[in-house]
Amino acid sequence: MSNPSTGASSKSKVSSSQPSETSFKRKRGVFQKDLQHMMYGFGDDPNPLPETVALVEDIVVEYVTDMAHKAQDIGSKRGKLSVEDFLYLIRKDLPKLNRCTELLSMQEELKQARKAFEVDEEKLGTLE
Amino acid sequence: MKSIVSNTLTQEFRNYNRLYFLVKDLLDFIKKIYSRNPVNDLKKCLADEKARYQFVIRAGTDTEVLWNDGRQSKTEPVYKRSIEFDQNHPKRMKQSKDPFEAALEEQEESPPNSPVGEDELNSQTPNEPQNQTNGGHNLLVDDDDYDEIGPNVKNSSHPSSTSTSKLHSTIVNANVATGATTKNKEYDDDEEEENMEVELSKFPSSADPTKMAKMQAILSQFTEDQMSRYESFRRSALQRSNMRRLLVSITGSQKISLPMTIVVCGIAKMFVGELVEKARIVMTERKESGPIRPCHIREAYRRLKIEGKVPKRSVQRLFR
Repeated sequence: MSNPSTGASSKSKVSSSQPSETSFKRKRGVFQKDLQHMMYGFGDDPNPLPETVALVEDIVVEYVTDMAHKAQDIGSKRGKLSVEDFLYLIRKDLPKLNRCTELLSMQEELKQARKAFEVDEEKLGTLE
Repeated sequence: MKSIVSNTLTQEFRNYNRLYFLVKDLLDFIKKIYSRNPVNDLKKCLADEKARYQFVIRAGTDTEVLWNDGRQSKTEPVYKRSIEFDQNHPKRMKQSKDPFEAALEEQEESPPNSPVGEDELNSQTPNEPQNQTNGGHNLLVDDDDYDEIGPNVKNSSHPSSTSTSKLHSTIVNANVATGATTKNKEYDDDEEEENMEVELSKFPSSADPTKMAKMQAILSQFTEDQMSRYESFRRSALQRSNMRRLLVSITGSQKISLPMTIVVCGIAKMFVGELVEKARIVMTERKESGPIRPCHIREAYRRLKIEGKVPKRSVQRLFR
């Protein structure tokens, strides 16, 4: 089962061997631009070395992959994968856990705010 | 890259957070202005029987919202406001368009039967660059983080402005313009991030006055270099679309919910932070300087594994 490659990319596609289930072509530099800014923010040079960025990206993808697999294992017990599984995985890591709960609550707030705004527009529509 | 960071990110970063609060302020503002009969007045404003539209003029410190009537070639005032703010603020000079104001410029160009409105607006546009703010960013998780929030910050802010029809966007602009100028009033010589922290305190869920006061005290002491690094830190995020694609390919299931994407982006960002910080520690131990090299990252990763912060594979990955 291969992932359809999305969009044209000038970077060379590397077909990496994947564990068990899936194999897919992974483009290099998916997160490259964002990672450069992020690494600068966390303490690297304003222009991080490209090989460093590539390595960090590989590590991050591997990290996310492992987390997702573990979450799937947990989620399969209850049926499907949900956010709770990820939160369970980072339960020991307090900074990450707090950050995630903050992100989720902010997302809720924004959703409420947007919904309230759209309700006005809807009333407008129904009156006409 | 650094010059881009210092100029546009300052503005983008400010707007990124500002947008979040503007959404709420917008609602309050609309309700306040049309407090007599909110729905009917809103309707009257947005779907005028004479097929007029509203537009905003900003010249210097004055802001006016007016009805434009093309057929009669006259304007009818709706709202007027004068704000005193620092014209010589260095950051204001570099500003470019706010997404809402960009939508307003769009609106300006389109209507064919309103010569008066176009002339007035065109004559005002030279003044606008000094009043406008930059919105041309994408956004995160955050995209910015808050794609909806994020910088993600990146693709976030535009959905709310572009999804409204053009007619609606003018009223939005009217309110945002006046809302924006009130916030401009609070700017002083120091960083806008201070003001973002001030705005944060309006919201009970995230408010913590002592914490905000501490943040402000710290932020006011930042050098420019530190401030730009802090902006990068706050504003950077992994793109949610890419993360979603990755998760779909890993799990094989299409049902990756939005909160899940947001959470994973957040976790990944913090993981990058841990890696980079530990790599810097490794570098100081080895007494090296300059950009971080892959060997430092590998050593940092090894140490994180020992600490148990990296999930271990239950099945060994062979034939890599």
